[in-house]
Amino acid sequence: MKTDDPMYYARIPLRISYCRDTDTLEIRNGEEVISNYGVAKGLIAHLDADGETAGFTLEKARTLLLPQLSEYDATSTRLRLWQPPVMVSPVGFFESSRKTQGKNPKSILNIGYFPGYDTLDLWNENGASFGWDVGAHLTAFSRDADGQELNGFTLECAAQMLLPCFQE
Amino acid sequence: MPSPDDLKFTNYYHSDKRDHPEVKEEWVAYVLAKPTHSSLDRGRMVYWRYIKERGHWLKVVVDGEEVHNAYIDSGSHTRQWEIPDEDR
Repeated sequence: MKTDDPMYYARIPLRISYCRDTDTLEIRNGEEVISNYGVAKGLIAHLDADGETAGFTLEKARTLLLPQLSEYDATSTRLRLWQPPVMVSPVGFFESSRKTQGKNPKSILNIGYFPGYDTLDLWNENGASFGWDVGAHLTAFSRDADGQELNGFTLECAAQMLLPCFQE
Repeated sequence: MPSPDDLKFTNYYHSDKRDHPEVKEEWVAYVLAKPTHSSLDRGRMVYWRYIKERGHWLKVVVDGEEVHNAYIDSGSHTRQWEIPDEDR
């Protein structure tokens, strides 16, 4: 998408799907997924036809995230959900995410949750300097400008979006 | 222009799970003093400015009076932006 609007992607509602049977969470911006990229153990990035980041899949999502997201306190969080996500049935949603390519799928997955900001960081062990919006509340990061070495994601309003999925 | 020493940062910015290895605080001060683009994003102000030394646009997110995040913005919109003469 060619645009000079810095908020273009920040306004796109995320599409979230959670499969309780496999404890798999997928978050996308709605673009068709063409290829996948292993960022860290259990964290797979999805790319669209233009090679742009379209979202991610996290395995063992509830197991990994629920203890931390449970620290969320609506009265103390400074960031409010601005663009509600679209909840999508997991049936058929994961088809394009099964084949994983990538360089570091065994990299350690670091998870950081900040209740005061309701912000979730999912990173491999490499630091990142370059970032870009994937959709509303979701930013991808890499060490290089063209995003070839994706290092992780930051999801804002994480508990506000994910706790309803995990607690149903 | 504010000194980097005058900047206040959120706990999130300096949390040990993140790092900003290639973002100098003097760049953050420069962006905040002379932004060329700005936007209100979910209650936070966001500022951009081209950093000549780095050759990219720096995005600085401000929560209240504190710098919440800062990173090189490689979003496609920055490729459409014109670099100010003084930053060339």
